[in-house]
Amino acid sequence: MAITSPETYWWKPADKEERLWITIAIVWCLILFTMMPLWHIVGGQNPSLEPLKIRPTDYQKVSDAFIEKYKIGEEAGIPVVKPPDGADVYLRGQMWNWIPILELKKGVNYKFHISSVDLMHGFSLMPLVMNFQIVPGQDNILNLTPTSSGTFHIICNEFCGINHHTMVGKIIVKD
Amino acid sequence: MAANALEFRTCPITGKKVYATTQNLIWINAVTSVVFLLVGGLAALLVLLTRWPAVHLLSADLFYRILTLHPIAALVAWIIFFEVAGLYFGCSVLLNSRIAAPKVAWLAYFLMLIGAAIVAVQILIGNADVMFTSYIPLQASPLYYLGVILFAVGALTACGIFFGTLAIAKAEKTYEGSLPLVTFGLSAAAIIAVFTLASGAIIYIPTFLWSIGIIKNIDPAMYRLIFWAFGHSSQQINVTAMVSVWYLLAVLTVGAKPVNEKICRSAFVLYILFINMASEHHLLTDPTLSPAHKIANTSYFIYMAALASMIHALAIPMTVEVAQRKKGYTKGAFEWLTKAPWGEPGFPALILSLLIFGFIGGITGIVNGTEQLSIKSHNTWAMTGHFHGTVVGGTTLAFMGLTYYVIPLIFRRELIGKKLATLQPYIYGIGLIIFTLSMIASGTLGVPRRHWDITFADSIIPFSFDPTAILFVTLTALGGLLAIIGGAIFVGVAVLSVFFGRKMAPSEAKLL
Amino acid sequence: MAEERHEDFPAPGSFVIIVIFFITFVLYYFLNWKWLSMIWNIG
Repeated sequence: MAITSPETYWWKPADKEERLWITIAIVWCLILFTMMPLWHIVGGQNPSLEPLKIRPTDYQKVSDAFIEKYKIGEEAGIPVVKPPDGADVYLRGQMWNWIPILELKKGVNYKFHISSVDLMHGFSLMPLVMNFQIVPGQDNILNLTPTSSGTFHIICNEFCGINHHTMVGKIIVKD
Repeated sequence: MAANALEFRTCPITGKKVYATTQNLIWINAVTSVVFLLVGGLAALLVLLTRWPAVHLLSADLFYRILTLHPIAALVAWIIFFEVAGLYFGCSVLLNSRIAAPKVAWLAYFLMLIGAAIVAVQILIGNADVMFTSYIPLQASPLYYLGVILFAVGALTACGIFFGTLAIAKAEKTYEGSLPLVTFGLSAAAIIAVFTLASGAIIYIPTFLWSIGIIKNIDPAMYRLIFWAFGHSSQQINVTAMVSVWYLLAVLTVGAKPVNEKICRSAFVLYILFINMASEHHLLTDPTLSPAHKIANTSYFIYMAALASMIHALAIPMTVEVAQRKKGYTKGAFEWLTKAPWGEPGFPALILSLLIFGFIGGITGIVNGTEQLSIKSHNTWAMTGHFHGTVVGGTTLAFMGLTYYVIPLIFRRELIGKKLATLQPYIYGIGLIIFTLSMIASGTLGVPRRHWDITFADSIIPFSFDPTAILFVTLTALGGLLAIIGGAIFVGVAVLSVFFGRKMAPSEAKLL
Repeated sequence: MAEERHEDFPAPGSFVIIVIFFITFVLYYFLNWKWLSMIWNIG
């Protein structure tokens, strides 16, 4: 019994049932492993490939410059920005906004940069349910191609202080 | 408390020697664990009633505060105090040995108690609105970090007592042959605990120094990496302890015997070897590490641990089935199961714990921990649903089932409320099934974790969730309420029985 | 022959349960890849 010492010679071969299951489990684990590098090759969704450090103050500057260059308006006090095709897009998470509001085009590839200028934030795009950790001091670089058009909202799903739950951003994708 | 170190009684059921010092230590740690379960459960109720949009009970600041308290009480204090009691059971009772340095074991207890109390108070007075993860740059008070460190030092000391007792038992030849499987499993848990607490020291000590201004800057990305080295490994302690408890419950409920000791022990060794390096699945959507790094860590290491779990997943039902078939329940494929002791609390606790941990906690764990798939679940309620499946439906339910045997076996008290005790695992388990599945469904639709208001009433850019998501959130709340009722029944039965249960005679060989 | 197979499988009911677990695992796992493929292209 599990509460008594086992019989002296307990290193015994397993029965067929356990051997079969362990074989199935090992093969399954190998499949689980293979799926990840495989998706990098054949799949369309992969997290950031290039870890990049950037100081929050520098990110603020780059983000402000991006907004100034491509601003086309304002909504609820937040700048609306329309970057050209293939541009570097800078999204900033801060207590308690995602800045700027972005107007993008469907099917176009953008080099997305997302970082925080203060605390940890959680980029969460609705209704697609696409989530990334946004770290102050690190640029989360994603080669993003919107494959659907419409109005999308960014909520924050990493606790960032008392107004964390008010943090909502917007991405509009035109055809 | 001041028992003679060599005074013992002989268990009328197992024949094991139960030393008075050990019994007292198991008692104090187990009783304290249930007190913290009560605190954690109350916090759970408040959090639930706030996240349920129809009720929305607490204000935002109180919500985030109680949400920080809930895992400290439920995930850390309840579970670790209970595990310490389990460690003393495994090394002292199961090996017929006196416990090493009982005074130091008591010191360990007080370090844990004082540490936990300091942390709880700091949270409640608003000095630590940082969530359990306390991600830098969020900063709690220096006392908060100090409290955590004290608790960890106490737990580490208890592990030391465990290993010391193993050494004494071996030297004094209090048992023959290899360690019993339950003790072997608990040893694996204790070894993982040592690595875990070392990682905890590496992250909490510098963070404490940062909170008092001695260290100027800690890189937030680095903090997250090291925190999870501590954070995930600590969950693996819980898995290892839970699996050991499963084998113990199988013995206590149906007299089961491991079918193949080699397989079970090797699976425990896999846990030790691989889990400490497998924490990067918490950082899969971070920009911090390269994909090669993430894939190697997430797969090579964690899949070895997952393999171990899958081995136990078959081994444990096998021990029950073989024991039941020996008793004559051989009709068809499932008479062994249908004719099992479902009317005793330990058996449904075992089976429900196995099923919830495996089907809900385990499967979603692997899915969430896949590099690309985590994009869909990171920081959503799908994540929260996963770990409530593992640590509440799995570990906590198993510990609850075991408690109903600890009370008569170790504390020598008859259970008060046996009918309620029998119903309790069903209420808790079914509540948790509804709770976790609804939570995972909510998270799959995007519902975020750690969020005060999913109706976004105060956002300047309006947004609202699909009504289906809100429906699943409501179902989560309802399942959670049922589970909390089950938890309250457990606490009630346990406390009443421990303090007011009829004292059993030394030779009374009755379990329930 | 049937008895030999029975001894090889001391716990056939448990094996049925674990196979149900495995099938659930495989289905849920690949369903999630399907859901992932439906969001924007990233990477």
